[in-house]
Amino acid sequence: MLHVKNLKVDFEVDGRRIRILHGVDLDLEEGETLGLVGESGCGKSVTCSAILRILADNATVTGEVMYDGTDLLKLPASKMEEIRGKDITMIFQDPVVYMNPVKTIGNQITEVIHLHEKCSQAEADKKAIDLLTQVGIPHPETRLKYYPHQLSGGLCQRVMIAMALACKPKLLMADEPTTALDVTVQAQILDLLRSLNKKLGMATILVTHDLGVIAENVKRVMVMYAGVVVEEGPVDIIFKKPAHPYTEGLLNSLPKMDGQEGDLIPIEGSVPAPDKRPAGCCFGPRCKYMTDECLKGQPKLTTINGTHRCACFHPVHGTYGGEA
Amino acid sequence: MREKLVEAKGLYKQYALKSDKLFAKRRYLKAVDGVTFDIYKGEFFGVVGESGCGKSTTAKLILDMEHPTKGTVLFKGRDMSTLKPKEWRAIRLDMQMIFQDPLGALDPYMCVGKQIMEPLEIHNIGDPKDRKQMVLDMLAAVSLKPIFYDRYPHELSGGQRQRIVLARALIVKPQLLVCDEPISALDVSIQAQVVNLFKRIHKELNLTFMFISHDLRIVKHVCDRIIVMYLGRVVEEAESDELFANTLHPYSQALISAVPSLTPDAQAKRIMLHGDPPNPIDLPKGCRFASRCSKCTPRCLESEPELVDMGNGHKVACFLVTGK
Ligand SMILES: Nc1ncnc2c1ncn2[C@@H]1O[C@H](COP(=O)(O)OP(=O)(O)OP(=O)(O)O)[C@@H](O)[C@H]1O
Ligand code: SF4
Ligand SMILES: [Mg+2]
Repeated sequence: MLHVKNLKVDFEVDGRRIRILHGVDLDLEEGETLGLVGESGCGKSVTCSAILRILADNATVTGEVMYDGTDLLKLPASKMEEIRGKDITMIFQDPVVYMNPVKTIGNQITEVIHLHEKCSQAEADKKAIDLLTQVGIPHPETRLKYYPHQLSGGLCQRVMIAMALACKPKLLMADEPTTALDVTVQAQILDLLRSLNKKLGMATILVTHDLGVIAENVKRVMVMYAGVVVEEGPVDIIFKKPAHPYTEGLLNSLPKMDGQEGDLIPIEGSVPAPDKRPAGCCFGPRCKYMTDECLKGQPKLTTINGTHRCACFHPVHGTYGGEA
Repeated sequence: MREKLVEAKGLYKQYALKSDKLFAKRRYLKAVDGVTFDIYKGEFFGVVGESGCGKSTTAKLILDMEHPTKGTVLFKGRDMSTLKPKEWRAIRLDMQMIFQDPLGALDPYMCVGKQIMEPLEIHNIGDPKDRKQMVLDMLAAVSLKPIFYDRYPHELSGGQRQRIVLARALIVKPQLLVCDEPISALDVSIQAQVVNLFKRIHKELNLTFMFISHDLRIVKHVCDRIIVMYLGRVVEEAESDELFANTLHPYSQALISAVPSLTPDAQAKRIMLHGDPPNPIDLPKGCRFASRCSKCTPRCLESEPELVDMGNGHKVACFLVTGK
């Protein structure tokens, strides 16, 4: 359904071009859930925005984004607009920013509905109520008359999801949809997204920095580090047997709820700034397995086993250099 | 008998809200609404709860940065609010704090070495010619090399900045360190570094910590004893192991179960809370958790449960558990 190949993004900052995405490949089947995980600044949001072509003006994008057989990067702006409204939609970490503060929730949802189908205002209102019910908002009739600031963060995110659903998308990209929410509300929203994925068969890309959210909500995951996909594969395999030293490090650095004692094992150092990338493997300076070979260049994403792939010369499990 | 360092006794803090109508009844936001607890010397004391539950306000009351509407705080047995300025300053030095955003806490135009030295100068601690060495020792204590002395905040990573803030707090040799969400702003891979540092400092200096966080994994990992807050009240208090092994309050149960586990497909045991917390301005009568509680009884809608000790210091405020 979606095949992204060698996606590269450069930003021009103060007259200099800085590469942020270094050739990302991403494949998504219809109805699939895919997780995108990595630390702040690793390029998760840029990847999604590049696919949707909503990056800032200072960005240059190369590569291929094949959706249903057409390359979205080559589409004229007006056609892209159509795809954004109909096929692929996105929800964000901070929903309030993306809503119109002076329009009621009801008006904002029915506006989207009118864009997609010809119907009377009464019919649109009814559809809006259906949508709000579907995303679990109590008393939808009264809530239609509310303005965004009158809703809590969790309710706002539900309204955002309702607006996204109004387009009947085939793919929903959710960029940190629960990061700003309390854990008990996060659990509700993730539960909602899971059930919508099941019920509507809508494919979902879930972006998060929280490995726990990944473990429980998607089947397949891509781990990003410094603008590179370093590992990819089925969640149950990667959490048990991570192949990339970075993934292994992330998992070790988190305290577990089922109480192991002792110190956490941190990853030393910190993420390099985009304009100060190390030579060779991007994770090299922080990697405890690094050898001279790792300075030769960025390792390619190669097969470890089945659909499990990893970009490391010395993977923790498997060997480097299966098929690229 | 363990020595009490902090005694919070029946703390209330209300903020008057601006009203748009001249003669309207004044409305109050009850940020902290009857909170009592002790912090023992040398203990790693945790405060958890979701946004707006009054964690930060409680911290400010402890630090005497805000004055309670009602109730008292004793630090080393003394009521801070009754002290003369000179005495107050002397005692206040024994409490230091660090907050979520290390960048906001640092002066961008001063090298970090000087910033760590500043409290020594202000409070006239140590011989001026020894001070540089004291700063270098402190840098070493927070695992930073001496070259960092001349660096400026913008040249440092988030984790390094938080170490600087920690060094500046520790250099006056406080007895209590209040940390309000000290690692939330840090990258996941950096959090473990800083958490290990806290643990080491705690052991080496026999420092008392009041550690506020919404991250239950971290709190479970570092804290000896924990209070769980909900809408301005303590709903449960217990030793860390006891709290997680034998969770009594329905809210704590939901909160703990909402933490995504790192095992794929483990959401089965989740207790899903419905709705959002009620508005702290117009609190309903009865138990403040009643509107979201699946076990709510008619009595819970009538009166507010008190925090009752169930033995071994495990306290809970829920009629169903205490029977009182
Ligand atoms: N318009 C822009 N101009 C310059 N740099 C940009 C621009 N947009 C993003 N970046 C940079 O691109 C990098 C990747 O950003 P991105 O927002 O994709 O990270 P992320 O993985 O989503 O992180 P987070 O977890 O913080 O959301 C960052 O270094 C960011 O500063
Ligand atoms: S390629 Fe080398 S440096 Fe990079 S992650 Fe693998 S072992 Fe570490
Ligand atoms: Mg992002």
